[in-house]
Amino acid sequence: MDYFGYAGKELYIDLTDGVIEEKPLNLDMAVKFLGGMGIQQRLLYDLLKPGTDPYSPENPIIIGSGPLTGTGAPGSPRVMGTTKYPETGAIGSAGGAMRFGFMLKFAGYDHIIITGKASKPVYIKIVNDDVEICDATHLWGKDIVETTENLWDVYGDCGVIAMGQAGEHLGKLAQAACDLGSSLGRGGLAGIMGSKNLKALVASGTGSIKIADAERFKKARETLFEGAKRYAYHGDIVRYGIMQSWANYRVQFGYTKNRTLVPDLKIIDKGIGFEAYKKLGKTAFGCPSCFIADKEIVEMHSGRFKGLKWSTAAYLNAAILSTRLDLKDSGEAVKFGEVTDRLGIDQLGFSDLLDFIFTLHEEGTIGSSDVGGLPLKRGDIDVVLTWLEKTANREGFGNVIADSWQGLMNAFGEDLVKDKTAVIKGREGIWEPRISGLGTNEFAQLTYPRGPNAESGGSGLYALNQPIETVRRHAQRMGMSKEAIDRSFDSPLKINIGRFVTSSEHWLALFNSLGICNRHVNNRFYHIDIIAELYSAATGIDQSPQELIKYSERVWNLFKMINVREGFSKKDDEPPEVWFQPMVTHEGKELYMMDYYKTRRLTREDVEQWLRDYYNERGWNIETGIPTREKLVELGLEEMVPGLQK
Amino acid sequence: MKKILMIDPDNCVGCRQCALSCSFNKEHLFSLAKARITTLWAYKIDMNVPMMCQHCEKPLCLDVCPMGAISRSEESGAIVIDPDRCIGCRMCMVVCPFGAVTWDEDAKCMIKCDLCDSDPECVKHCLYGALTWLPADEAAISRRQLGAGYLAEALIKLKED
Repeated sequence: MDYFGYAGKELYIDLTDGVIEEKPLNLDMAVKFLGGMGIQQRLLYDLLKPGTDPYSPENPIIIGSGPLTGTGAPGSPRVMGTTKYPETGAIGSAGGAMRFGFMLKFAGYDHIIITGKASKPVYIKIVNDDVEICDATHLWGKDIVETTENLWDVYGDCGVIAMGQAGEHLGKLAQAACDLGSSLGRGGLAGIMGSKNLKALVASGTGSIKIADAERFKKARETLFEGAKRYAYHGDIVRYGIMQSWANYRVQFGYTKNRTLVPDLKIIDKGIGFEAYKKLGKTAFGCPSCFIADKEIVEMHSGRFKGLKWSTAAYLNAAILSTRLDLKDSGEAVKFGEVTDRLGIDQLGFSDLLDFIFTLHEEGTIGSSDVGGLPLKRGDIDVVLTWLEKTANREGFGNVIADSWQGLMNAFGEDLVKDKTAVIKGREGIWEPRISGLGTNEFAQLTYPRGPNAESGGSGLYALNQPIETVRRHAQRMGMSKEAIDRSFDSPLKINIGRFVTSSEHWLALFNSLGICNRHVNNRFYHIDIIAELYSAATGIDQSPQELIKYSERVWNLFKMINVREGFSKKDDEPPEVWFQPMVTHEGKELYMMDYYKTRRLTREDVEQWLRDYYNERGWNIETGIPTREKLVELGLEEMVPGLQK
Repeated sequence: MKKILMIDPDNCVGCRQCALSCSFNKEHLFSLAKARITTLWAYKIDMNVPMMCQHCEKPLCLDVCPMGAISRSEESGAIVIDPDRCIGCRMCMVVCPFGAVTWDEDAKCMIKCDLCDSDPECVKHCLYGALTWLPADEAAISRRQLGAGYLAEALIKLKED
């Protein structure tokens, strides 16, 4: 049978008994759930028994891509990793990029389904249909950079997913990395790899991705290229990466002292921000198929860390997180980023946790003896590095941090953590609504079944202060119907966030399922009409824009239901109490959570109302926050109806 | 003045749209193996290097072909393969210093860049300036200017030190 767009095969690997089995891609499932995240969630629904311990051999890891990955559709390298994540206990589909998914498609596979546990360290090699579980004893104990470079040396032009020491020690903050240019699996994917003794995966292939209607595909693809050629900021984005938007992000994420204080951003700009960044050495790189590359290898030209290089998706993250820990300059930021990436630790989660501990110490709540004698000193890179090493290797109090917020709840009591943090579903939110206002990304941290993350809420309101006309244009790009637009923009606050988020979630599900990069710089070129053209032309499965949105809604409901089956419901979507307490700027001004356009202060009742609107817009039960039988039947998810009984 | 395809690895980000565009244009599908150009990630020097036929003035592939299947196009100046004459002995692949001639398992024939009749598809899809299609004299001037830039940088550094 000929497959178009899809590679056409799935690979089942049982690490316990070493059995490797190839199966044809189930085309009915592909049609119904699109690919990537959609197919992976559906596969996991059958493979995962509810209540399974994430670290047990029975918890599968599914890694693969969508039908557009491997094609020349711009920015379509997305690789998804679906599993039950240990940090939150939720099933999620994490997104990564670079070469692995792309190469896996050329090797002939859409997805790999990994179960079991190897008796010794192994890595999985996929070179076309030469698939092997290889000994990785020589790689165990090595960091992500060493592991990746070792496999690059052996396999040449390939894609590598690797994990570091944090994964080997089953850390809940442990994430893998793809080709040293993208993280994969915030929330402990690498910890699950560790539990399976799986150090890495490598793929390369000489196959082809066939296109059902090449002329039609070409037309849609060229439209996107024309858009990128006309884009005035193309050069700046390649030159500065995501730092081009520093002025926006430093405001959105610039806070410290456990989210109570907004420091003087001018000081940060100088030492760590855009001015400092411009002095770093830089080599730009991008994922396969990207037409607006924004990744980079940065290099220190001076100071204590002179000569240090760091291959990263964004210097920006380290700059912002260094702010949280009061690190002083770009050299310390690069060192922090480089070491977290080597060990395979979630930078976002780790910096929030350490900031929390430092703050407790500064308030006099805890002392050094409460953290096993580890140093409690903010603003010292060596202290941060010590904590990182201890966390990765689960040494001393590092063993507590390695379990993320659950670890701290066990150590200091649940109330202390819940009272003082924005922890939602076991993980602290990234987007701080008291600074940005409660936009889509902030609000969707409550509803995202995986637990709060950078991509929560898709891209509805990515940046600060976008004019309402821009947001309306984006709504059309996302394929919202006129009725959905009317409902979402019928609000005295200009946008009903609860309703609007549902559409940006569908847009995210579509990108995650087809294989398109959701980064703002790529996302902005796409329109639902173009996506429908690319998908239909590539696969030969003719879908209208409206149908694709409906299918994305199906994927989202499946994603929800698989987590409902694990016991998640409205209680897990509640806003954290700290959102209703003020933050303070360095000038002493109090910041309260307001709406996106900063029209007025929001109360808990406002947020609760938007949650009810969210459930209502989705056709879910507004009391329980879970899908209704009617909704599941409407979406063709009858097989999930029994999951409602629980 | 004939145009030539210039490569500037400093600008290459490794997106491989050149290879994807090439295989799509030639074969109506996407494949790295069937692309006549590729970029390779040389991590030890932090550089993506586009690899393709240089359409040499003294092409070893042309010299070595026992069937006379390789010739230079009068119009574009490209070194091209006549698939009807190619017997798949792979001698051209062996002698090419750039690995620019490859084997197409499906067509049972050697394949290589033919400059797309002087309108190279790869260049049209390189948005980073790593591939350019320039008159030969302009290309030489542009290389010289680039070289002058490097020299100036080195001299400035020398002075600073």
